[in-house]
Amino acid sequence: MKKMSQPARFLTDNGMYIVMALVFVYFAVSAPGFLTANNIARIPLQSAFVILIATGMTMVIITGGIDLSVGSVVAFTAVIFSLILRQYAVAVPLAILGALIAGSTSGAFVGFFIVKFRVPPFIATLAMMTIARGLARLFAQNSKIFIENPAIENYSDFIMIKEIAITNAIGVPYLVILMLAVVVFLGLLLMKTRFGRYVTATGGNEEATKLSGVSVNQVKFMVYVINAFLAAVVGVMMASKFMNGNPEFGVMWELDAIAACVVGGTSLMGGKGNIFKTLFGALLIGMLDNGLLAQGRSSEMIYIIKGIIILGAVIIDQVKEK
Amino acid sequence: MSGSNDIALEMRGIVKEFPGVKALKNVTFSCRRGEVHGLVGENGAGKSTLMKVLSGVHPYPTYEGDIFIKGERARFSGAREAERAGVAIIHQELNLISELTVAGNMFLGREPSVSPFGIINTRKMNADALKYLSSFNIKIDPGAIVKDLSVGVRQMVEIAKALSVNADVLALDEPTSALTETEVESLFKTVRDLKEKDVTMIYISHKLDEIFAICDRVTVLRDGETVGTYDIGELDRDKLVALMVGRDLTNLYPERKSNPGAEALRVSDFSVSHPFLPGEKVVSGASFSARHGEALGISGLMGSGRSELVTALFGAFPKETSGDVFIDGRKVRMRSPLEAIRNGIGLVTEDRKRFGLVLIMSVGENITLACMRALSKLQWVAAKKERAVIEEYSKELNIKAASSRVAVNTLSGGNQQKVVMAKWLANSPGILILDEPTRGVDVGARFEIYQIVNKLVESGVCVIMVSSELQEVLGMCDRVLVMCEGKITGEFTREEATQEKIMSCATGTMSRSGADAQK
Ligand SMILES: Nc1ncnc2c1ncn2[C@@H]1O[C@H](COP(=O)(O)OP(=O)(O)OP(=O)(O)O)[C@@H](O)[C@H]1O
Ligand SMILES: [Mg+2]
Repeated sequence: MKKMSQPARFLTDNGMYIVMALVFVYFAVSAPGFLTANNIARIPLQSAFVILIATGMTMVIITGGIDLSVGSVVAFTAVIFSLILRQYAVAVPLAILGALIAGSTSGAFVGFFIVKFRVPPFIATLAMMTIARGLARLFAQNSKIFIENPAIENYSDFIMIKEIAITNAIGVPYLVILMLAVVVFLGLLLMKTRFGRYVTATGGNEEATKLSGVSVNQVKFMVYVINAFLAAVVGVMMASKFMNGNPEFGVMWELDAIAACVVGGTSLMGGKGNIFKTLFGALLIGMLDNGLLAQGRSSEMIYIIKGIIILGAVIIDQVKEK
Repeated sequence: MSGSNDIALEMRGIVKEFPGVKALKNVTFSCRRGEVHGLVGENGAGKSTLMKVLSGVHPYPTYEGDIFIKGERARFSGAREAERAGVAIIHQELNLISELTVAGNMFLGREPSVSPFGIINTRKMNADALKYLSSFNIKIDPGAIVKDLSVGVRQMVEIAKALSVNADVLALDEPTSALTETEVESLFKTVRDLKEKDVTMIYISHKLDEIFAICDRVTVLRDGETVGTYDIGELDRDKLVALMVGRDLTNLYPERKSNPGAEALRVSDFSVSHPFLPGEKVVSGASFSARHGEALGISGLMGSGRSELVTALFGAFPKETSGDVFIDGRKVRMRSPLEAIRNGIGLVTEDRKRFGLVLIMSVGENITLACMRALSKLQWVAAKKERAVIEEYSKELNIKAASSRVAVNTLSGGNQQKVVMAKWLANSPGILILDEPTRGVDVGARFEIYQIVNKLVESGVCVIMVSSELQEVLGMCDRVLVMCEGKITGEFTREEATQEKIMSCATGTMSRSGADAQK
C-alpha cells in the first residue's frame, strides 16, 4: 500500500457513514415503506434504548474493559421498579429512584470486583450478567410483574411513563430527546472533562496513568457504575413502556451495544473511542433492523445480514489503521 | 572500487513519508561485509526509520528507493521475511511481549514444536534460549516472565533474541540506552565476536564514546538526509557532533553555580521489599537527604535498587515500602503517586513506553496528564489554558513533532523522552526525580535537558538524578549516592567523586564506612 490516494483516504476515513448511506439507499429502493418520514423517524426511537446503553459501553470499552451485564441489568431494574410500585404504595419518583439505585449497585459490585480483586472485566460482568438475570427471574417468579399503580398516570408525559412515544410540540419523541441529551452529555464528559481524559488515558496505558497521579481504580469503578446506571434508566423506561417488569427484557442488548461501539470505531484494546460515532454506529444497526424487517426478511436472515455488515464496517476501520 | 561481494548491504534513494512528516528524504547508505557501521544523528533524524525500512518493519512498497542485500534486490513484505533473508534488528523501543517468558519471546513465531499438533517444546526452547543468553553472558532464567524484568534486562533479552536469528546483517538501534558500563562491555564483546564471524552490524547510539569504541565507519543522518559516511579515523568527537547537529557544541555539561538551600527531602531507614520473593529486599535501610537547589545523583549497577528506591519514594509500591520520609521537615506518607504529586514530587520514569507515556494519546494530552487538576475547573478542562501549557513546554523542551495533536508514538525516541520531561515540568514540582532522563536523547537535546535541569536547580528545585552514565552523574550532580545490592554504599561530593571511587562502591568492593573514612 503506497501512500493512500485522496479518494481512498476519504472512503476509509468516513467508512461508517458511507456504509450507512449505501444501506440507506439500498433500503430506499428495495424495501417498501422504508422511505417514509414516519418510518425514518422511527429508527432513532427504536434504537434509543440500545444507544443509551452503548454510550456507557463506549466509556467502559475505552478504559480497556467490557460490560456484558447491562442487558440483564435492564431486566433486573425493570422488575425491581415494577415490584416497588406494586408492593408498596410509594410515590413514582421514589420508585424510580429506588430502581435506579438498585441497578447502579450492580455496576458498583462489578467495579468493585474488577478494581479490588483484579477480576478481568469480561469475567466479572459475565458473572453479573447471569446473577442479575437470575435475580430478575427470581423476583418476578418467572413471569411478568404488571404495574397496577394509578399514581403512575400523573407522570406519564414528563418521564415517559406509559406512553413512551409521546412527542413534544415539534414532534420529536421525548425518548429521543433524552437519548440525544445523554449522548451529548457523555460525549462532552469524555472529550472535555478531566474524568474523560482519565478514561482515555487509563485505557491507553494504565501504569503510566497511575504514575501520573490518576486514581485509575476510581476511573474504572466509575465507568461501570455509569454504564449500569444507564441500563437502569432503560429498565425503568422499558417497564413504563410495557406497564410491566419482564425478566426477559434486554436479552442480548449488551451485544448490540458492543456492536454499536465497534462499528463506531471504538477500539476493544482500549484508549480510543468516540460517543458520537457510537451513536451513528447504533443508528446504522437500527437502520438495518428496520429496513430488513420492511423488506419482509425473517429474523434469522436479519441476524446473519447484520453480522456481515458489522464485520464489514469494522474491516474498513482496520484498513484505515494500517 | 571494491567488488560487489564486499558490500553487504546497500540502500539507495530511500524516501519514507508519514502523514505530515517526510522522515527520510533521500537516504543513501551502504555497509561493507563484516564491518560495524555507526549510524548517528539527532533525535528524529530518521535512524530508526531507516532501520525499520531495512528490516521489513516498514514493508515494501511503503517507502521509495532500492535495497540490495549482498547485491540482490530485497523487497521485504515484513520483518519475518527480512529475518529469513538474514536481516535482524534490535529495536530501540522494547518490543517484548510482557506476559510471555524470556524464551517465548526469543523464539516467538519460530518455536520448536514436538508434534504435528504444534505443541511447543518448552524444554528445548528454554535450552536454546539459554545457549544464546549465556553466549552473551546474560544470567537470566529463560522461563522468567518478561514483565517481571527491569528495562535493562529486557534490553539484553531483546539483544539475545536478535542474536538467535543468526543474521548476516544485524541492526542495533540504541541497544545500550538502559545498560550500565558492565553490560555494555559484554555487548561489545559479543559485537566483536560477531564481527569475527563476518556479521555486518549497524550500530545506532547517542553515546558517542561507544561509536568511537566499536565502529569502523560512521554515517551521519540529519533531517532525513545523509550527511556523509566517514572512516572513524577521520573523525573526533567534536567533528562528529558538528556533523550531527550542524553547529559546534564543545561543552558537554553546562555550568551551574552550586548553591544548596534548606533540606527538601530526608529519607530514613527506607526499605522496599521484593514484590514476589517474600523476605527479600530490593532496597534496604536507605537513609539520605537532599536539599533545595541541589542535584543529587544516584549511581549504581543494574539491579542495584536505584530505580526501585526512587519509584517507591514516589508512592508506587505502598505495600512493599517501609521507613520514614520527610519533605521540608514534615513527615509525610505517600501511599500513591497522587499523594507524592500533592507533596510536590515528580518522577520521570526510566521505562517511558511502559510507565511514562500513554502512547496512543497525543503529545499534548501526555504533557498535561499529570497537571489536569490545575487545568480544570469542576472537571471541565480549560482548553485555552491547556493549549498554553502545551505550547510553553513543547517550546521549552524543543519537542519535534508535526503538531502537539499527533499521537506520541509517532515521535522519535528522544522526542518521546522530552515529552515525559515536559509532563513533569508542567507540574512545577519541588522535588523532581529523574530516572535515566537522557535515555535515547541526542547530544544536542541532552545539553538542552541539562540546561533545563540546571535552571530548575538554580530556581530551588531539588533534583534527584538516577543515571547509568557515570559521566552524566559526575558532570551534573552536586553530590552522588552509590547503591549496591539495595544498600547505599557510598556518598561523595562533587569534588571527591571520581569514576573509580563510584565504581568500587557500586560493585561492592568498598563499603560505605570505607568511603566515609576516606573523607
Ligand atoms: N509511525 C510514525 N508515524 C509518523 N511519524 C513517524 C513515525 N515513525 C517515525 N516518525 C517520524 O519520523 C521522523 C524520524 O523518526 P525516527 O524514529 O527515525 O528518528 P531517530 O533518528 O531514530 O530518532 P531518535 O534518536 O530519537 O530515536 C520523526 O520526525 C518522527 O516523528
Ligand atoms: Mg530512533
